[in-house]
Amino acid sequence: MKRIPIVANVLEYNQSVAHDVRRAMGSHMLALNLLSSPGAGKTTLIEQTAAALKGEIRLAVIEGDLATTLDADRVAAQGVPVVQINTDGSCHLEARQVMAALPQLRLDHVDVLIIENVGNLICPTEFDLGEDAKVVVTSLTEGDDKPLKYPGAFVAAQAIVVNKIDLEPYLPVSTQELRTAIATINRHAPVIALSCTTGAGFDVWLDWIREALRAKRAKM
Amino acid sequence: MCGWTGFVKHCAPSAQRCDVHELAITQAILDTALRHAEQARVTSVHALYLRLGELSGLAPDSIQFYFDLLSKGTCAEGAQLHFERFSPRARCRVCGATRGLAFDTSAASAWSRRLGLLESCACGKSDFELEGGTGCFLDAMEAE
Repeated sequence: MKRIPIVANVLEYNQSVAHDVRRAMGSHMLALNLLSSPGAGKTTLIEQTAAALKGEIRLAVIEGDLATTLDADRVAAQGVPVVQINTDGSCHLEARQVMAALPQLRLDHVDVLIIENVGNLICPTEFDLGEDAKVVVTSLTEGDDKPLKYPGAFVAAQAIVVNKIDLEPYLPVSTQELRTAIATINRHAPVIALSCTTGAGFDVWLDWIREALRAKRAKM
Repeated sequence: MCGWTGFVKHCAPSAQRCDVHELAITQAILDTALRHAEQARVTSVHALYLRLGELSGLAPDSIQFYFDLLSKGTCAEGAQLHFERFSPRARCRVCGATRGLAFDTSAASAWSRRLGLLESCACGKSDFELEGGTGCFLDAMEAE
């Protein structure tokens, strides 16, 4: 019996594909990986982002869902190209699935690609999809304990959207309390509080996308 | 495999789909171990030594469970997996000092308290960012 030193990154297989995804997407396009628990409002956020940026920024969407094309149909109704990945029970997207989806999009006609991950704050965090930024979407109705209970996702986020702030008068938690909880885990990601229902704060989100796209292209 | 339906294009689930993230990662652990076993010209792998990041959300029990299933019929069948956890480090954004974050996994206290992120840095500020603490690494194997 002998001990054989190895020191290998087990997730190397995913990271090498993520690297290929980055190369395939090039430097003109911004790719966002949206993570949230189910029901936080990822799809509504994407729908309204598509509507608001129409004619300004060319959006494309990759929808990851266990099953159904319900979300993809909603996003497609906004007139943006959508590729549906049904993970058929799997709890997360992997880079190889994004790589397989890319040929279905005319990448030279896309400014921003939004990848809607499977609704789950645990499993998707370890899988780099080749994105430029992970964006966590949380909502006020989930309470202020999610950043502390799911630190992996919140630590990895380059931006954190707090949705459903219009419900604040009816909830025992405030936007400020949720901001404080987020700050104990991640102080450098901007926290964008908004309501997809009233549109409050939505401009801040759109400006964040515009700035992230500008910054990506400035690196060219 | 993939065709148009209105605006929506479809990608069929991959044949090598993995239901939970531990299953996907366990398959990768096994593939990595078998590749190294072949390189080292060993025929029987008895143990694997793994390091898991505290932020990775990976459950050791679940990995061992899937490993027992996936390794059947390979030279790593029956191998015992040994896990060591590693924590993220906190880097002070004011003075740049870094410190390891001790984990007390038995504590029921909130994460930030467990991580000690509410404590101040030696410079008096408490503005940290976390580094590392994610991923899964195969460090070594025992084999013959």
